[in-house]
Amino acid sequence: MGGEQRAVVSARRLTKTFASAGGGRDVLNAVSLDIRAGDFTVIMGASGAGKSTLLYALSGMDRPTAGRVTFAGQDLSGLNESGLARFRRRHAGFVFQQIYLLDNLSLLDNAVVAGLLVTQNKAAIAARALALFERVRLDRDTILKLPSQVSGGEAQRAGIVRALINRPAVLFADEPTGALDQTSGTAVLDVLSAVHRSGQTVVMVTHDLKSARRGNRILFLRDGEVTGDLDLPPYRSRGGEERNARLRAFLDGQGW
Amino acid sequence: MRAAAVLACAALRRHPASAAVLGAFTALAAFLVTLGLIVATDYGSAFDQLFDAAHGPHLAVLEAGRDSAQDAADLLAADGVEEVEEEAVLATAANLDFAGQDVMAWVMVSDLDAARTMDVAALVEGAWPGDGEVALPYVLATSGGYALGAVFSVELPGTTLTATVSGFTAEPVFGGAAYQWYRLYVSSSAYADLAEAAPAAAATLISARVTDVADVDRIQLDFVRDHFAADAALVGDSTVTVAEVYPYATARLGRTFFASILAAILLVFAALVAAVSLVVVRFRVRTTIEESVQDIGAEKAVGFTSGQIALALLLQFGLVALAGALVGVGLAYLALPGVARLLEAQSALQWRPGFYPGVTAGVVLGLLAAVVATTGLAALRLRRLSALTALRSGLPSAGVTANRLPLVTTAGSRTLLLALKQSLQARGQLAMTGLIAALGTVAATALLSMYASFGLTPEKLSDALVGEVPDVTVSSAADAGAVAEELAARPDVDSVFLLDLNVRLLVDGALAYGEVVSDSSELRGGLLLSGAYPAGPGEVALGVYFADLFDVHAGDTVTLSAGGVSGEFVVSGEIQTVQNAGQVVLVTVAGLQSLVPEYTPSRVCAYLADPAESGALVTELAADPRVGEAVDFRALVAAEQGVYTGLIGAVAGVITLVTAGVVGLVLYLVLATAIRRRRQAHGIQKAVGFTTRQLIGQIALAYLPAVLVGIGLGAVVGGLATGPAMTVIFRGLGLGLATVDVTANVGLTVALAIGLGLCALATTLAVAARLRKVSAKELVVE
Ligand SMILES: Nc1ncnc2c1ncn2[C@@H]1O[C@H](COP(=O)(O)OP(=O)(O)OP(=O)(O)O)[C@@H](O)[C@H]1O
Ligand SMILES: [Mg+2]
Repeated sequence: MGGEQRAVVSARRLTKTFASAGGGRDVLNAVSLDIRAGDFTVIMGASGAGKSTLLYALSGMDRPTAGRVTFAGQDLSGLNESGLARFRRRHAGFVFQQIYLLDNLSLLDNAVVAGLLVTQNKAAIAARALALFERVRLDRDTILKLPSQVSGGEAQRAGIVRALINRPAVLFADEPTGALDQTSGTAVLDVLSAVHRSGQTVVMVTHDLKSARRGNRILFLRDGEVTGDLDLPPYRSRGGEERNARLRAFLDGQGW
Repeated sequence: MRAAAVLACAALRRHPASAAVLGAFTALAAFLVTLGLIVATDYGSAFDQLFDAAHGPHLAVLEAGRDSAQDAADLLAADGVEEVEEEAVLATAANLDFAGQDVMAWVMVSDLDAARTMDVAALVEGAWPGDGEVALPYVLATSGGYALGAVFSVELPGTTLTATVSGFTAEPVFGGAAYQWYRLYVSSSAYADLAEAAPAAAATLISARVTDVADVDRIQLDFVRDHFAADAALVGDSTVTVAEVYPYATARLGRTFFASILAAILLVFAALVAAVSLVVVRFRVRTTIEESVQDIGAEKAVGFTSGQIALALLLQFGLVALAGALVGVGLAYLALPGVARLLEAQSALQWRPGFYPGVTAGVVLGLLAAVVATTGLAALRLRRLSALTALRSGLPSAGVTANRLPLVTTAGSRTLLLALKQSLQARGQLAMTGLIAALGTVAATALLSMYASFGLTPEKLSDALVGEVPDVTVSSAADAGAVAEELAARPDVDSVFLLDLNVRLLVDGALAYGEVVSDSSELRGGLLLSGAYPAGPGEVALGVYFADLFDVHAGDTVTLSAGGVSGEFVVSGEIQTVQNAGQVVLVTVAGLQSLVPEYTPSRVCAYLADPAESGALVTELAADPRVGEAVDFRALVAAEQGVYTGLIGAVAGVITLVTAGVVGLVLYLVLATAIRRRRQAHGIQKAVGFTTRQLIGQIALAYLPAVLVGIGLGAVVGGLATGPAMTVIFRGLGLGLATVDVTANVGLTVALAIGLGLCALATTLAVAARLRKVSAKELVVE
């Protein structure tokens, strides 16, 4: 993996300041980085380091206080709220820790409704959704259920389908397994690995080592600054002890 | 109890706006119902007190040229009559200044010092008249524009009474605005002078009191039939009043009917607002339970019982209702003097409302009980809630359990389907909002229709109240025929006919007011109710009053008596007018002449090519020596109606605003709740890429159609039902009207519907603007 890869998202001197009682506090402090197309980038760091804040700024979910984000050739700082919304629906897929499906739509419809924001062709969207659901191993019966009627892991896999439905340039995930048990979490990670293998760019925030192993690039965030950047060989389900050791050493070096 | 109180107060503090809306509704309902009940139950007693204090006559007969001592004795002998009294008076039809208009009225002049036990005058204001002074009935102050010290002048046959107004009397019978009989008092010496100068006005007032008021109608009918049927003087020109009968019920109705209508309107609206309040209470209780389901779960888990939690809800809503009801009742008492003054202008009744413990307690306790009962019923679902499901936020019916309208398989656009799904979830609230919008619109449409019918097209009210309203009328006792011919020849005059009013006749023995017309095909007003106008001398059209009384209708025959001669006439149709309480009969000039050959009509009526020219024509005619009086009749009637149409317009305006306010408030409540509850869902939608505008569109599409359908249905129902409903009400009032021509003004109704719709749209957009503040990122930040 090298620098010859195209940067799909470029952040330059990103700063995010939240007003607080004692004046402003920089949660992101002039962060510059490139997300390379095809990578599975993992962002790690202590709680409160600014991981989620960075993810929102990169994905166009929120706007930085200063600095700029160029995403798929588009300068996001030029977009207003609705411009960002229209940008997100086409180019950024987002998977939440709390899953957040619409409770009055079936899993299938949750994916379809996002697709219908981009195209009116219901049949095409439905077909694509069905194909994606097959890839995340959710059967026909399950996807016709409401979110309240399925398990967390099933719901999160539907969340991934929703995020992928419009073929986004980047799939963002903020601790996608945070609310899941071990088994469900692994199933979700397997799906992420699989879509990555098929060429999807993924950016994932996580706390835990097992999840971090899925990435081929690890960014470490501390106090709003990127303090570490590690490239790894692609993840494989078996073996890779040496790879794991490098990751562990890297994290130890970051004081994780 | 203490624990429940703490929970209740906490809940009130959390949603002050909802509590305020609910309190406002309760206050409005309490306000309207208190005013309505007090007016309905007590206003009539103001008349009764006045009547009793004056020892008023249940039956008053004014007659001239008869053996009144004999008539009085006969009346006393009648079954059920208790007391009878005779008094010499001067009585005449005369013109006087009424609120700046020269109007024809019936005037009775009495000697202040004559001995009398019935209709004993009492002063409302000022002093008893000395020489050169006169005391007038109070209605001439409230409606007639007279003040103490003003100069009052009226033409009697042969002389003019001109005097300074010294006082106003609380006259119970001869002093209402609707029945233009005015009883004046002058000093003994002034009376003696007038009586000498105006012998033609000499008349006798026979007053009678009965044991049972229910007998009055029968006694009156019998008396008139037995005494006046063969009376040669029954047809005469209007300067001689030969027979007038004033029953108690007529006087009472005339003085209180306006108050009854007002009370009825207030009570109908009170009922509507109260219904809305209860629906809102039910809605608030349910949402409170749903929104605080986790609190409730926590409370249950901590050991509160369902009973305690329900008690907290009862306290919460009971307190708001109690406060609202007390405020509303208080405001009603503040408004009572104003209402009394408003009614006094029309009825000349001095009503001094006091404190009504029964009504007050009834309203407050009734509203409180209704709210508490509604709360209790709505809170029953608490029992279905276990601590655990509540903690997991799973109120059984709150969650969605079925995927209705799947997006993939249902035809329709994304926005439409999402909105429809939201509507389905909120169908109960939508039904409530739509129903409230519909009820309010019905009420506003009804009043606007009345206003449009009576206010914008005054002819319609004139049709109902006066019957025939020509542009110009000319009284010319001497040469009416010639005047009519000359008028007809003028190019600015469209049509001319002769129409005398108030010609005394008997119909099957009952005293009636004849309207005598030269050519009924010229009539353009709204007299005719059914059948046809009398086409020839052998036909009459009968007032509804008689048609109902004798059960005679088109095709039947009746006996008309006038000038001591009787004849059979075929009833061609039925007519209606509130003039003379509908005791009218329409007959042709030739028809009346078949009984009284020397009869000649004296009142010329003209419709002009351009009604706006009537003023100029009247001025021109007034200079003609043959013309007794030329009247810009349509303008006069319009001025008299101004009070009523102005009032209807004001009420219609207020009700329209109230409707807009109520619809807006309810919609606000429903939308604000929905947005608060679905905040997370909207955040998710934004995260996925929905714009704020798309979300606002979705909310509007989900909630507005129900309101718009309600408004539309309300407008249609209100437009169609007002006429028939008014007809039923007026028929019930016994005013001589069988049907009232109220039709919806399409333009106004459409404008109302559009206005209300825009108001709903504005409310929706204003509340939905909160969606701007919902952001995608807060989903993750929390
Ligand atoms: N909207 C906000 N207003 C004020 N402060 C905020 C806001 N969002 C985040 N912060 C603060 O910014 C800092 C970084 O937050 P962020 O959510 O990015 O951390 P994180 O690295 O994702 O932490 P975690 O691992 O706990 O999710 C935290 O101290 C947080 O309190
Ligand atoms: Mg985070």
